[in-house]
Amino acid sequence: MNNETSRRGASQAEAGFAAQLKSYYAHHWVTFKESWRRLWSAPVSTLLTWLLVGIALSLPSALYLVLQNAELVRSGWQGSAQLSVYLDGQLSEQNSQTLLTELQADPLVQAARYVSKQQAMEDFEALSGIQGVIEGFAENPLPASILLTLSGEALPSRSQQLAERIGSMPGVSDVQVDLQWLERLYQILLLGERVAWVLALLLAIAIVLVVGNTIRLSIENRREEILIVKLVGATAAYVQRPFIYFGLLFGLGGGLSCLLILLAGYWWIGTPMRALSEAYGSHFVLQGPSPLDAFLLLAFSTALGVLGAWTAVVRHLRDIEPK
Amino acid sequence: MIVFDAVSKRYPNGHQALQSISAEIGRGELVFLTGHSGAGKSTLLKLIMLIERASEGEILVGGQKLSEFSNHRIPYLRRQIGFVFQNHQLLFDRSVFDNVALPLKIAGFESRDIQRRVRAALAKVGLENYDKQRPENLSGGEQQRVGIARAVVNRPKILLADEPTGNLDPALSADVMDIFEQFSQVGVTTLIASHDLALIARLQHRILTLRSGQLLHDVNSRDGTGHE
Repeated sequence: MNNETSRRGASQAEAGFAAQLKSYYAHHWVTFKESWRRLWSAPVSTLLTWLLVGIALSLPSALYLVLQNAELVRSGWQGSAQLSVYLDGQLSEQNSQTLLTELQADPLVQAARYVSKQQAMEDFEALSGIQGVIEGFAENPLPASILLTLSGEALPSRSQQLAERIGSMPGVSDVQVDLQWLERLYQILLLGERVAWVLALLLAIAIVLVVGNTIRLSIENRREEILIVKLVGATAAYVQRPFIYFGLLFGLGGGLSCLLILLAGYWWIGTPMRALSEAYGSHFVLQGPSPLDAFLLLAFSTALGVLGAWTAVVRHLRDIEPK
Repeated sequence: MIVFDAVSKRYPNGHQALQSISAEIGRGELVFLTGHSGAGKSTLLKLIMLIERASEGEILVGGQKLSEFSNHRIPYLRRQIGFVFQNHQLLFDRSVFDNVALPLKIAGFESRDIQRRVRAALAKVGLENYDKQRPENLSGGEQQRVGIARAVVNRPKILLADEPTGNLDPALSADVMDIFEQFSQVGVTTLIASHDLALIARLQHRILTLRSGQLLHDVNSRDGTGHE
């Protein structure tokens, strides 16, 4: 055996504080790399977990994107929403102009145009292509009207209210609103949004459970090692750190695979969508996930992974104590 | 260094593992703990490591009352104590170096220090050039010596061993005991649980004998106070 005199004996069981702090960050980095290496030592199961998390996340995310696009379409149509206000035949030209000014002042009204009886007939003749209709009548049967173009911000429900209010004004015989289908679309979008949230919540719980279970298995596989490191002085934080990093990597990888799924879907649907849009003479462009969306998605999935790991650590790791 | 003051341990299932044990182990002393299996040897070691807590009495380790150690400070107690297991408890998924370095990494030593200390610890147990080996390629005696290197790499003031020669033949057992004696000579308080009475008797150290959880004898064979 070795020369005894050269030994300094039993001393210095603790490292210095600065060294410990430095080592703390170094250990985080080492643990991160180690967790990464362990993930790749079982590539198939890791990829499957990522894919599972990615698919689970892609359902609500895709629904969210569809709704965002539908909302874009809806608000685009909303801008061109019109009200036709038919005036009472008895209303004088002067009173009609007063009413026009009054309606123009309404904040929901973007533009108002007076269409006289004469103008209405001319429009009708031009539109229908039938000339000399007026000669068949003793009097022009078409009423004068005011065409209101509503502003983009007008919600369907408020447009409806506006229509009712105008309808009760003196000198107005009828108001025609073609907003009902817009109202329905709006309600459908609201419903879709709620469905997306419920779906997101359920699948988020599923992801936490899946990651938690995967990490529970990896805790079980490393039971021996956990016992030994606890016996040689590892703190609870030291022991759980690699598993929390597992969760983080599962979540982050799942988020990335979700992003890939969304981008693939965007690419797959985007091209025919553009063609369709052009065929209708629209300049609608399908919106993919924005950089902010992508960032939020990754942050959310990473948080879910860490949460899943945390549940496994709290429920299983703390029970593993040397006996 | 280690003081037992009327220590009793009763397990939740009612088993009385230790009963009113009082003993004092001085700095640098090497003490054998013997008795039949189930006599309470392992329980005594577990109490020092705070793997179990005493039901009654007080244990002092290096002047610190163990009853005052909260659960989250237990790791810091364990870093002051080296522990050698009967079945060495090495991790087979990493090299000898990484096994021995484990307590240092946990305690937060710099990698340069770790290199130096691990080589020193391996040298002390006579395994200088074994650092890149895998534990499964070593013999039982070599594995046990790696276990000892891991226990002393942190330069603990106290070294505990639970049946360290349990799986070894007499020649290897003598080698292992020789290593423990060397640590005790440089001031490490060493407590070894063993039922290998023949080996213990030959080594001429203080022997604590337990029977059914009670301290039966506390004899120092070196003083000639006899041994039964």
